[in-house]
Amino acid sequence: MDWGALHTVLGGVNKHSTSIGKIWLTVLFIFRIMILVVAAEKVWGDEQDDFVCNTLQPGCRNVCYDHFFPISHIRLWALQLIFVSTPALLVAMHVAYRRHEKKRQFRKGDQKCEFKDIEEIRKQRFRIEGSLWWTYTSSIFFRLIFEAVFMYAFYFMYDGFRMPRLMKCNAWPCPNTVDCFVSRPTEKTVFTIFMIAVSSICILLNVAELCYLLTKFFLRRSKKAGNSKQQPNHENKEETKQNEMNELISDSCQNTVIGFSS
Amino acid sequence: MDWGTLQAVLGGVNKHSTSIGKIWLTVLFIFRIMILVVAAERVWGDEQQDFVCNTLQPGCKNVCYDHFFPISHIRLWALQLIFVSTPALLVAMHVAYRRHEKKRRFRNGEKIDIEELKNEKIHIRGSLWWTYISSIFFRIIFEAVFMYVFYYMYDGYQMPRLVKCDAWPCPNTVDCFVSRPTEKTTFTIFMLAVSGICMMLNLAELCYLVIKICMKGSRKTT
Repeated sequence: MDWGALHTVLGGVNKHSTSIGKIWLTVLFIFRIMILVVAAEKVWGDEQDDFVCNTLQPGCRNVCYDHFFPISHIRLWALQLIFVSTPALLVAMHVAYRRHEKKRQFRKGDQKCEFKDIEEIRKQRFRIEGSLWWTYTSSIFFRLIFEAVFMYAFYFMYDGFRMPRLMKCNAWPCPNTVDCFVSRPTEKTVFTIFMIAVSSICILLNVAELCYLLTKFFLRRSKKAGNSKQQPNHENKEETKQNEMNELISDSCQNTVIGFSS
Repeated sequence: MDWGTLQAVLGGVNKHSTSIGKIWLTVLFIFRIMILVVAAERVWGDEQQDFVCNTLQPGCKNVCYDHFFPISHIRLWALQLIFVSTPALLVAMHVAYRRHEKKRRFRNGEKIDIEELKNEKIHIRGSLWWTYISSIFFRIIFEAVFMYVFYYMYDGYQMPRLVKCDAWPCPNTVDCFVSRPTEKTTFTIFMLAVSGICMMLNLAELCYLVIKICMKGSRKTT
């Protein structure tokens, strides 16, 4: 189970996301996970080996390293990426549950069910409406929370986003105060700022997606309120059902379904 | 045979699990196995190399490391994850046995569709219910045993910075310093927390199955 497997799991969620959600997922995989695996891990690879202290006292280097780097940047980023990816699984679970319900209806021979085929149920793309809208919005909300928490944790733990070249350490067993030198501080600062920047872009994308979903929700409600004032109820229900069926046909037109009559 | 293969094997079991079982499997793969592979193995990667003792005596570092770390955390977690995943295979075997029986009946002339048989979702009833319950029970036992072993072996869940060692050939008592103790403590507590969450999910699943069967039983009698 590694980043590739996470990519497979989240790829499935992609189908049910908005366009902004798809962009977010792409940014996550290419500009964060891939950068982490391909570049950042090599930069931090020798972080303890090349952490050098100006002393012969055994144990001083270990203790100073542990004091200044309680959790390595790489591990914090790995945890951040895992936590930020996971809310999307709520959406995947909800979609799987809906599919399961529809399959159950289909098997029972329910006449309300519009599907002729189990394959069609499997390939159907669900619209973000009703309870799925709430699940989707909560997942974006949790993503935002996790991103913000980790960014704050970084800032708090390392007193900013800059990696210093020199640290002065006086933890036991170091004799008095000892100078310790960090390995590759400039490269680490560059990557830290890069990851923070992409993190902020992801936060902006999530906020934009949240606004988009809220706007869509309010527009839909005002359209329904407007329509119900103009027309009698039962005609409206049939028309909206017809509209939904037409939209479903056009949405799933890439599936090889032997259509259903209106 | 690695974690990916285990995922493939257990993915098949997923189809016949309850919803709580599916959540448990997701938590296992994403918050335990993935964290182990992607993060924890790097943290413990240099554990012996950067285990430093304040002595020039040859062999002292080796002996002290072996004394304080009889089995590394990483290996214990790997064993725990394998043991905890394995009871699900009991369920997979039972389901495969049922399918095999149905195929045999089909071949003997009964009218059953083979394609439908392959894709059929088998309900957790009868003997399969007992197999499923036992598998959850064993999972809980294994989790508890490993959590206790961790606690017993390392005197708690905190990784000390300094360990004092007087095993031969170390002269008198020697200070030895552990590599990355804070990061190791953080990950130990994290893995323990997720282990606790998995145990609670298993208990919830157990309760759910027991309640379901009691309700079905009472419906039949009324």
